[in-house]
Amino acid sequence: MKTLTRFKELFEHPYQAASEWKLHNKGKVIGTLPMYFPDEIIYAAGALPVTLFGNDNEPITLGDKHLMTNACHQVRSSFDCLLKGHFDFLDGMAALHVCDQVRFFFEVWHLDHPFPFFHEMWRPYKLHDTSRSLLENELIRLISALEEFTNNKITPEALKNSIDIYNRSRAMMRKLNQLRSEAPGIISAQDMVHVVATALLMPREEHNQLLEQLLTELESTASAEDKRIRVIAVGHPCDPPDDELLQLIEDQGLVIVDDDFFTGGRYFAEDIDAKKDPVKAFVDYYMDSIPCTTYHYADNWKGEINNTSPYAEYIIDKVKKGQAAGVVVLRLMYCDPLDLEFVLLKNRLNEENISYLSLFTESGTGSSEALRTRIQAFAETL
Amino acid sequence: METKEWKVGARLESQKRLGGLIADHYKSAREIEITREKPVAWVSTMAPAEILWAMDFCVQYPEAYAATSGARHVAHGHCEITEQRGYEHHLCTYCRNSIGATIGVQEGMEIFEPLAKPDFLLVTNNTCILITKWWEHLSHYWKVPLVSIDCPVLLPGMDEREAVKHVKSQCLDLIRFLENFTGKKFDYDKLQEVVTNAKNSSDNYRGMLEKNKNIPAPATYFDIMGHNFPNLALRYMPEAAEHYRLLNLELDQRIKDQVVPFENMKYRIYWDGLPYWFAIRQLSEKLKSLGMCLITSTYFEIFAYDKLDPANPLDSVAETTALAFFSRSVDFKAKATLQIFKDYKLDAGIFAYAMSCKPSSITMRYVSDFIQKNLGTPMTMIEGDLVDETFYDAERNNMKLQALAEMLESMKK
Repeated sequence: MKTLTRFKELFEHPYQAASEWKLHNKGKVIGTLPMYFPDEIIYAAGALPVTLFGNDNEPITLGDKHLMTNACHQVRSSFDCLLKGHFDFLDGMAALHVCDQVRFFFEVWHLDHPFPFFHEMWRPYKLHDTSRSLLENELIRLISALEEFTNNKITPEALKNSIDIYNRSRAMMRKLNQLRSEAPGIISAQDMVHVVATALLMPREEHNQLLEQLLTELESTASAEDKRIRVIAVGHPCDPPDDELLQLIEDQGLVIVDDDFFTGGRYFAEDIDAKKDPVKAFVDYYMDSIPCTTYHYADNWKGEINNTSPYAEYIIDKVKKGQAAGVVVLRLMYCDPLDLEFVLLKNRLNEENISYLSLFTESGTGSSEALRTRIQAFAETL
Repeated sequence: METKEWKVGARLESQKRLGGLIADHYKSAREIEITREKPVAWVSTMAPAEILWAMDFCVQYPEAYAATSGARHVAHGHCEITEQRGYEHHLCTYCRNSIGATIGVQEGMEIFEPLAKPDFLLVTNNTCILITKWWEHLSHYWKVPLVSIDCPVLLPGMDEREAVKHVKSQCLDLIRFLENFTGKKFDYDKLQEVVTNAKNSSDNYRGMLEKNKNIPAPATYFDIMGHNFPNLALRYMPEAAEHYRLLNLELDQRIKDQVVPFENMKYRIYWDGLPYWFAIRQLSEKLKSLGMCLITSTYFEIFAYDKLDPANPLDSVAETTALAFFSRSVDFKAKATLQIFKDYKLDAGIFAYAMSCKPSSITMRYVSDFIQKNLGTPMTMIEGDLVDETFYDAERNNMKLQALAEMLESMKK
């Protein structure tokens, strides 16, 4: 399909669209680290936000001279890309502290390789009303910093417009996901990742046009019955899962009908409320967020201790809604938040009699044959 | 360093008193576990424990317990239990130790004297973000409530007063919760009394650290590191300040008499990172053989509660929690470390990378390079972990320390 091929090309050349945008528009490009940075605010300032994913296809050669190898691949690979000059097209950098690794890595980056614009933002780890005021101040601080850097006033109208564009993008992604759930195989897992990941790499309006085109193409496509077993794929916070691994899963008699990747279901699960005051809408977005391994849900821990992993319940709900037979958990080596939460997740999946397969996906390690055998064995148990 | 007039001292007398204080603390907690005369709380190191002491809680520290488990060489047993449950080997070893010890107690696999069982948990994320998840797991296993206090990293451009305000509102929320939990009204006079004691203790603790500015140093880092414990766990009692007062008198006497901790003390060394608890003796002997005296470390800042103020008890507790050293930026820490090198007249630095502790390790190279660029002092980086011995290669680290000593020797010529 022509549009899917275009998404694949964009995915394979992740920063080309942004570089071209910069050349033609003389605008500023700001790199953001996954996850959850409010890109809409950068867009409202007339700059282009680009999420930096590192590079799975290139060995880490320079990054490991600066960071020990027990940091996750996303962090080390991004730093490696920086040192190799892959991010030279950027005018600035911004990130939320989603985990300890991102925090400290970003701080070192700031000091060692400064950009004209560098912004760190604190998103309270604790989801509770006591966090709202600080988060609101942090969003206002971000807006002020961007206004000063871009020399553009970020008006409430500009923010609303940006939110509308991004909400439209997420709505179309949800529609695409719904199509996938209703007609498994209509879009492959890796194509789905390409669609979502590229939205984070290029001007969103252009991406929206492509996505609209894709939906039109898919809606007019008659899908054959897919006899593969329905599964949910979760994990891989931050960067996109490996294309070959996703294909390997779907080649072994399994079909992914929903996922919780950051470059997937997690990204488009929720919108920013365009009807509210924009800053307050962002505060609500973060404070009422879908369960994540990087959040602490304060109210869950004060009374009877029953729901110790809202994340696990969220995944179980996905499994049920997706009528899936099992869960494939893709785990990036050294991802502390997911590794800790995984223990609670697997316990809950066992309690619910939901089969799961946990795969570590550190780039460049392990043979695909070993993975194939494990996936085949999992498919057989289903 | 001139060594002709120096005399080698015996072990610090205060070590015995420290041993007694620690033993009494744990004995009392175990008695409370049986009598249930007061609730037991497990608390993270930089949490506002003053609030709990004011409500007459028995406060226990899983991180200190992990350190003790490491020093007693039993941590690997706790860690193995967690790994069998699906916890990854690379996760924080303090965390794996305390979860393993918890499961051990609950399932009859106890391998070391446990902490008194908790009724309540309190955590702050001013050491790291992961610690809140660790405490969530403790709550999961013990089925007791958990309150967390979110402490923002003090980012460039952030108004520190907002951070303090944010923490104070959570302290008030904690107080409301505890009033409901215990059925007792919070006693602000008791808080003032606790803060007064804690302030005295902290001032004397800071005094102890600064004794090593003297040349020659009256004690090594290894001699005084255990004395963190009173200011961590006992600062609410007058006995903690008294302990430091007596220790400082002892150190002052050593300074007056030019008494040093070991013979052939040649170099004043900085230690960055948390201790490798299981390797204290081995490292101590090795460094001694090389004439290297560990003088100080930013690790001590974890236990410094300098901002406490009896005139403003709750505000100062919030300030102490919000403005903790480890909530500061890397830039701040690098500059603070540089100042320590100057103030303590240090000759070199050892950066102790901890495989499972990313917060204490990821920025080490930057801080080390920063000092080296500014002062030209030699640095080395060794590898290990806080309590998990499996990552530790003594010979490899010895070679690095040897090389550092040789570099220092050549610089003298």
